[in-house]
Amino acid sequence: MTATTGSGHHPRHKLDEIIHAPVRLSIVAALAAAEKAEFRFLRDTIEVSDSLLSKHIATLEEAGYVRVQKGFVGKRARTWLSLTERGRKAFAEYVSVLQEIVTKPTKGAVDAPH
Amino acid sequence: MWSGNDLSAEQAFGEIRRVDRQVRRSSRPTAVWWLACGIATAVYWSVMHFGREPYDTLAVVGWVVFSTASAFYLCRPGAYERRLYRLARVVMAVFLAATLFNVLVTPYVLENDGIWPVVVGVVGILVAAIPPLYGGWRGLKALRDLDREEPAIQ
Repeated sequence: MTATTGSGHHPRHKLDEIIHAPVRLSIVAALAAAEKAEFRFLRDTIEVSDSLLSKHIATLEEAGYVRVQKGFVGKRARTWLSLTERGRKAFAEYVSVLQEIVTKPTKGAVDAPH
Repeated sequence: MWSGNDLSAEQAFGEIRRVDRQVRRSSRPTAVWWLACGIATAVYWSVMHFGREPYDTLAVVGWVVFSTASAFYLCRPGAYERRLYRLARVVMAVFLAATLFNVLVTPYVLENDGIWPVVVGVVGILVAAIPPLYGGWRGLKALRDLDREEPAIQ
């Protein structure tokens, strides 16, 4: 089950709070565009420290959104990350809620005099 | 880079687009490699089918050098762009089947005279070279289309 940001009627309450955090959103968005991505690539793309990236990856892994694979290329250890089916589905839902928010007219705009 | 925790829908879309573009751009080395592989394949099988000594030996040495360089070059990407990765699997399967075809027909092409060995040899070259050339072209076309898109919202 995905965690949402609240229980109101506004679409923002349907946003998955696991994804809707700056660093985690960047991780999931990058992995959605990739079949798999390396830890260092994500770190450089998102511009965060190793420790912060690791912390958020652990949260996403715990939620079942991200798969972590460790391997070696020569003597060099490499960590590859990919989205699970569950993560891909959660991201697709997240994007559709965002679209709903962007297209939904705000109260101020509706009430504004012409 | 992110510092705060508040995230508007526009900011979220902007970040999704920025990161998506960065991942897609990372596929450029792979697309370029596919093109190089297509050209190298065409040259290799042309020499193997229709070349004479010592050019066929040189072609084998050249192919070994190309394969070794490819192994190092293809280790570099930090991300495998989803669409190109999936296309690569199909391209690789066709490429391997075409390579096997060429291996099998090489004796026939070399040992027989007439038009048919030439036709078989040319077909072999085309079926081996076209898949990687197509993969490279598709990858670079996707990148060109990406450059034409409007820039990501910052």
